[in-house]
Amino acid sequence: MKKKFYSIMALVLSLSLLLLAGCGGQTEENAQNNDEGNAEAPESYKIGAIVSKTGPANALGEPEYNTLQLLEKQINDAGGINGVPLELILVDDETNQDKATQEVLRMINDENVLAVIGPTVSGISLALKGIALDNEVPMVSFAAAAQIVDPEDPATKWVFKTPHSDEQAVGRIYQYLNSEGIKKIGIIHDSNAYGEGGREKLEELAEQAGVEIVGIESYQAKDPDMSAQLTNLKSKNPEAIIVWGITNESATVAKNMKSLGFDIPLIGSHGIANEGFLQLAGEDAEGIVIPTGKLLFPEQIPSNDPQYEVISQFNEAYQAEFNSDPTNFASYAYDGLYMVVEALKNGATDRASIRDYLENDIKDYVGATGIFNMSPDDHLGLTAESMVIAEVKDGQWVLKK
Amino acid sequence: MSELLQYIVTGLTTGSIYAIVALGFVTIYSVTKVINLAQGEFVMLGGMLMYTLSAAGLPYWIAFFLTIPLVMVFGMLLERIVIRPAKGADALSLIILTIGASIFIRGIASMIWGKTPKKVEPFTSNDPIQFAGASVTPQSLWVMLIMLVVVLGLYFLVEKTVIGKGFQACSANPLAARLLGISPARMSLLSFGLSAAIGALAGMAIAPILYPSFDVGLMLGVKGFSAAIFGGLGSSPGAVIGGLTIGLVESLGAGLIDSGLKDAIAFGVVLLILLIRPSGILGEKSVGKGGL
Repeated sequence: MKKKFYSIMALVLSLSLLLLAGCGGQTEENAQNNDEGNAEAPESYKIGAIVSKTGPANALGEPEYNTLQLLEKQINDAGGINGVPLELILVDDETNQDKATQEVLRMINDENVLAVIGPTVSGISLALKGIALDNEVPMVSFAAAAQIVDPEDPATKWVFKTPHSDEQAVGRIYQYLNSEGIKKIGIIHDSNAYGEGGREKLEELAEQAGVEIVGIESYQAKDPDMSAQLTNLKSKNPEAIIVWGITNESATVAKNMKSLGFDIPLIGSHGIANEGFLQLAGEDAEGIVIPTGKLLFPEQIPSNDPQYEVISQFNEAYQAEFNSDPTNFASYAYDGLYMVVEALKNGATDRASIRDYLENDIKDYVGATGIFNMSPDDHLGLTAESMVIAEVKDGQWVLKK
Repeated sequence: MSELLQYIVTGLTTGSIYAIVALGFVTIYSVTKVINLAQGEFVMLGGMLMYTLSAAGLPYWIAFFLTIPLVMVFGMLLERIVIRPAKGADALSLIILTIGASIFIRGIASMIWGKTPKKVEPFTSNDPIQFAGASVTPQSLWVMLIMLVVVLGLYFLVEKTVIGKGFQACSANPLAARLLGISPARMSLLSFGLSAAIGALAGMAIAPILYPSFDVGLMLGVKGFSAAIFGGLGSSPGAVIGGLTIGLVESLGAGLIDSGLKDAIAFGVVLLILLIRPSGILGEKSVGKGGL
C-alpha cells in the first residue's frame, strides 16, 4: 500500500520534472526546484552494488544482478527517488575476494556511494565488514552466514543483511517437526562451513524444540556414496533424517536412502531450494521437505499472504524482462536495494543517516524475502515464520500448507 | 552384522571407482613414466560427453560407445600437443604440464557445461538389490564389473599381444625398443589414447552414481592417484588393490569410527603403508627410472 503511494508520488514528481525541463531550464536547476528549496539536492543518489555474476557463485549472483538492473530501470522510469535519479554502480566481483575488496574501495572513495549492497557470498561479506566499518559506509549483504550480522562484532554496526540465516531455517524445520510429531532425528551434513553452521544451529535449538538428535554424520564434497553414514544413522532409529548440504550431495543422500530402504522422511536445508536438485535427484526426491523463502514458487503464494503483492509484482516484472524464474536470491537483492531506497525516500540521504534509518526504522517492512523488523541487536530482522515449508511432489516444489 | 556388510559393500563400490581411475594412471605411467595428473579430467569428460550426447537425443548405448573414441581423441591430442613437444624434459616438468592441461580442460568444461552437476541415467534399472540386510544398486555392480573387465583387458593386452610387448619394451628401454623397430612415440600416443578410454569408461560408469560436474575430476584424480601410488605405480593389480583398500577404509572408518575423519583415516593408512613400503604394495623398486 505504502509502496504504491510512493510510486504514484514519484510519477507525479517525474511529470513535473518533465514539464520544467520543457521550460528550458538546466537539469540541475530542475532538480533543485523539484526538491522544494533544498539547495543541496544531488544530481543522483549513488549506490554501490557488488554481486558475483560470474565465478563459482554465479548461479546465486546472476539473478541478483538481473534484479538490480531491473529495479534501477523501474525506479528511474518512475521518476527516481523523490525526483532524484538513482545511479547504481553495479559491479561483478567474479566471486573473488580481492576483486570485491578493490571494487568496494573504489566505490566508496572514488564514486562516493551512499551505501553498498551485496556481496553475494558469505566469505566475501565477512571480509568486507572491516571496510564498511573503517569507511563508515552502510552495507546490506545478500549472503547467508549469521556471522555477517553477529551483534557481538563491532563492525556489524554498519552491516545488515537480507537473506535468512541458518537460525530461521532450523527454527522453521523444528516447527515443522513439532507439527508432525517427530521427536528423534538423525543429522548428516556437509563438512564445509555451510554444513557445519547448520549442524551447530540444529544442536543449539534442539532442546528448546523438544527434539532429540540421535546421531550426527558428515561427508566431504563430491563423495560418491553416503551409505555408510546412513547405515550408521539407521541403526539409531531416528524418526526423520535431516541433510544439511548443497545440491548434488543432498541428491546423493536422497538416492542412497532410497536404495537402503529407509521409510522415514528426509528433510533438506534451504541450500537445495532450486530446480537443479529436482533434476538430479529425480524420483528419489519425492516427498523431501525443506524450509525455503517464498520466491521458490512465487505463483503458489496465496493472495492473503502479506507479501503477496510485492512478490507477484516483482515476479511478473522479472519473468517479463528475463524470461526466467527469479529464485530466492533475487529476493535478497530486491530487499537490499529497496531498503536503502526507502531510507533515501524518507530523507536519510547521507551514509550515517541511512545506517540509522536501516537500524531503527525498518519496522514491519514487507519485502520479497519476508517481513523485516530491524533493531540494534538484529541487523537481519527476519523470523522463522518468513520461511515456508516446501515439499517435492511429482517432481515439483510445492508449498506445503 | 548387516551394518558391517553394508559398510563393506559401500566401500567396494567407492573403491572400485577409485580403482578404475587408478588404472588410467597406471597405463600411461607404465609405458611413458609420465604421471598424468589430467587423468581425472578424462573421467569428467567421459561423464559430461555421455550426458551431452544422450541429452541430444542419441540412444543410450550409441552415446556410450561414441563417448569412448571422443575422449580417446582428447587423450591423444593431449599427448601430441602437450607432452610430445616437451620430449626430453624431466619427469617433474611433465607432471606440471599435465597439471596445467587439467586446469585448462576444467576451465573449458565449466564454460561449456556450466557449474551445475548433471544427471545421467544408470545402465540398467536402478532398483537396489538386497542381500543379507545390505543393499547395493545395480550401477555399483556395473562399476565393479567394468573395473574387472578393464584389469583383465589390460592384462591380456600387455602380456599377450604385440602391442603389449611394445609397451613393455618402451617401458624397459626406449632406445633398445627403437632399435628393434618399435616406435616409442607411437606407443606413448597409444598409451594416452588407451588411458583416456579407460577414463571415459570410468566416467560413464560413475556418472549415474556421482552426478558429474566440471570439477569432479579433481577429487577423483586425487583419490585415483593415491590408489595408484598405494598399489605401486605401474602395476594394474596394485591399482585395484589400492582403490579397493582406500574405499573400504573410508567406508569402515565412516561407519565404525567417525564420518568426519574418514578421509583422514584413509590417507593415514596410505601414508603408513608408503612409509613401510615406499614403492607401494606391488610396486617395482625402480619407480621413477626409465621411460621416454
